[in-house]
Amino acid sequence: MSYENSVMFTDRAYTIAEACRFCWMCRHCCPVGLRTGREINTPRAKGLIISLLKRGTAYDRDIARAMYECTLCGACSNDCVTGYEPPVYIREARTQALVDELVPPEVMAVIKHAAETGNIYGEEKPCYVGTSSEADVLVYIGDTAACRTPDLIRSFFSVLSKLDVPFRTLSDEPTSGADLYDLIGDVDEVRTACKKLAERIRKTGVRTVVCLNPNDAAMLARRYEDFSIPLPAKVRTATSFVADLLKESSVSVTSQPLRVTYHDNVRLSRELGETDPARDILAALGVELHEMFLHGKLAHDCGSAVFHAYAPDLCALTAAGRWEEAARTPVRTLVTASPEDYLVLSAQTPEGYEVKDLFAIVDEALA
Amino acid sequence: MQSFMFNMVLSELEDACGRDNVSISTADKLSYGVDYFWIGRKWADAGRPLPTADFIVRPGSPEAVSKVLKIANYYKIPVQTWGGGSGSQGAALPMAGGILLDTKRMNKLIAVDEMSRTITAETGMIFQTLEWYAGERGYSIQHIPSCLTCGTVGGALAHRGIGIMSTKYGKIDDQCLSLEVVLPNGDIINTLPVPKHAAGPDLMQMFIGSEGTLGVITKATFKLFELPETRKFYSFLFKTFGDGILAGRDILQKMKPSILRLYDEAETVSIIKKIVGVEKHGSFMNLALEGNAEIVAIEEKMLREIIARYDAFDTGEEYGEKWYKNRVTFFYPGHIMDIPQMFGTMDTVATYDRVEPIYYAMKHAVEDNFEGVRFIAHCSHWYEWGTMIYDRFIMDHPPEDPDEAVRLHNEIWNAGVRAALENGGVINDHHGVGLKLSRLMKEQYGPAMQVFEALKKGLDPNGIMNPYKLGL
Repeated sequence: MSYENSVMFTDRAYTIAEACRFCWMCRHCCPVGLRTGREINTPRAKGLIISLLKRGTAYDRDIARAMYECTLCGACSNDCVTGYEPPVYIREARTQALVDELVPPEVMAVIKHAAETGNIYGEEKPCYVGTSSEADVLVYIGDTAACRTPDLIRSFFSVLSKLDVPFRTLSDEPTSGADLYDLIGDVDEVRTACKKLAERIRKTGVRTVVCLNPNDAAMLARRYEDFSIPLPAKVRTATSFVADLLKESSVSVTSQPLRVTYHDNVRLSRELGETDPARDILAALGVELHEMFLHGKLAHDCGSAVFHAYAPDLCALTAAGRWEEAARTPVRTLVTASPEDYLVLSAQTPEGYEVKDLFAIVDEALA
Repeated sequence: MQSFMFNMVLSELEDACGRDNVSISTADKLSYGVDYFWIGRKWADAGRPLPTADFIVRPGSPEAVSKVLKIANYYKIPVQTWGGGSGSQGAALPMAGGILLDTKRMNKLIAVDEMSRTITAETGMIFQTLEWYAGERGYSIQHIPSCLTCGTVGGALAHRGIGIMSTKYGKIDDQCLSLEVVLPNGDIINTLPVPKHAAGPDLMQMFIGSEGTLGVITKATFKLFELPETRKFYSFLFKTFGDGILAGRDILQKMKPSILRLYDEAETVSIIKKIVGVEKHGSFMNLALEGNAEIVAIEEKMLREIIARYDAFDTGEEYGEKWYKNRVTFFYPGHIMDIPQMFGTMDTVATYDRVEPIYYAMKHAVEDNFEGVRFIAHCSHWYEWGTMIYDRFIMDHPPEDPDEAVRLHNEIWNAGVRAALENGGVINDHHGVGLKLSRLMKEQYGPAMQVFEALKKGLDPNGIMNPYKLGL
């Protein structure tokens, strides 16, 4: 760690910020920058500010607020030819804001919810039971699906049952730590949450964990390794798991006469490099797919659940931006493969359009 | 400004743009304190205070821009317009404080007219977004600069930008058909609906390149080109830079490559070697022919005849394509020059008879007079009558003291640009003038400068629009 002028960032964060402060190349990807038009909402400007903190500028509430005006979607990292990752310094700036008590109140309220209840909604998380307590497959449901989009859970469970896959769930499912990690970065509280979930998974003895939420999948598959938290099971995304099942299964599928566009979840596409399985599923179901001009790893983020929780107005802008792109295709149905995207895009659905969950379509096709 | 008065002005600006779109926060102010200009970077790197505006305003419409300019005129507050802030000449920096007007909320697509092959948008749109809109319909504007992803439509117009496809498809001032402009007094005007006419001097061209000194460009219409049926890449190695220039001239008499780039020996063995992988010595040329496949086939035959006349070595399609694929790699951190290096692009343009004399004059002016400075160049935008020269100087170990470094920086610039002017070149080809070259405008234009000064005085009598820039 470096320590200068009361502001603490890792050397890696400073190195990236120093590289980004005079580089404009990725601003066209930033969903928040594009929708707000504010210069501070560009990776360059945020990097510049971090570099200036090192040079004596005081970290204040305005700067802290700017650091939260970012969905951490990784479009900037994906664009960078050199391989720099602006989310690294943005997350650390959030940690610093917490340390310096500069976190905006609306963000602090969400952090408190997470601290008190384990999820950003500040609610008791409902329990969902699998088909077999001895199953070798564990479905990790995640906070957003459990608290906000229960229909998606029912569809996914139904799909697994129809494909004869026994599965179990965790009672009192602990959080993955993904939302808290986005809110306050790599701090003890986050690692403690991660260790708790890892231990619960270890005790089950399962060999496969299927994450319904790509954000959780990215957390388990990538961050736990970064944190040196061993996970004794293979992490699968729900999409890749179901895509493989459909390829291998002899269960009959009813072709779905749908014309849709598909929104790539940014953690799924950019962090996990997964863009094909959802498309393979749609193709297997006979669904006619019309791609948005920017899709796959280039898809603009619609906003995340945590962003939606603390910055609903900004999230409405990013979601509306994605809807505008969807509306330029000839279809009126937008398919998502993430509870968070479903939540965020449903809240901004334009008249005459609909959001459909990928697994709900699979469920119908398997009926 | 007194706090009381400050708040009065703030309230008026909020009334004009909406409260959420006016800011006096530190974070916002600092983010506008550095553009691509080397001196701004050096200042930031040294921890020196950045130039900051008193008010950041983000109007969402030309009407809101009009209100802001009326307020600014009444109180005689400077207004600096900011698009993407990726300009290299310091033109967008808020050197006079006052108001910084960020155009990026004005980012709507207004129309795609497939009948006329035109596209119209607000000028706060990032140019890449506009190009994506065109691409969705199977067209391109073919303005593809290295700052495509970071500059706005208005920014490209404000400094007379150019893209890598310019030799075939033109500069921004060729591609633009009409403009909407908010004048300093708040009046909203439109140029004529078409760019070619005999209805007097060209009103539109008075605003293209005006760098925010004569008003704010808020809407623009551009040509659309159908995407080419084929695009073929070539690359060659000439024995000398001079041979390459003559070959380029001959090519332009017969055809219009979309890409045509010729590198001097110094750039061939440095940047081209690093990014494209060409190992041989000489002067590297890469080009692309595109359009109808049958026409391209004929052009290729003629191209090879010209190349053979100059005994150039064919380095193959691969390097031409590799350059194209890496065309923006050059500009990412780790690939582009950066602090602590001192560097600058002294691009100029001239008729063919002056290109080599200018190149050598600038090279000598820079390398012979300033120890530790090297000079590289390429020609990347070609015309029937001449070409531009993208001259760059690089100093790996400049003075650490920012005051000393800035003095040296400006001395190098003065020497290089004056060498260009003395040999028939111009002050700049496609980056603009801004703050960086403002002092040299009168040397370039002489008594002709009074035309610009009269225009400025007539349109902006209070001198509020982008002070210290463009020599106005």
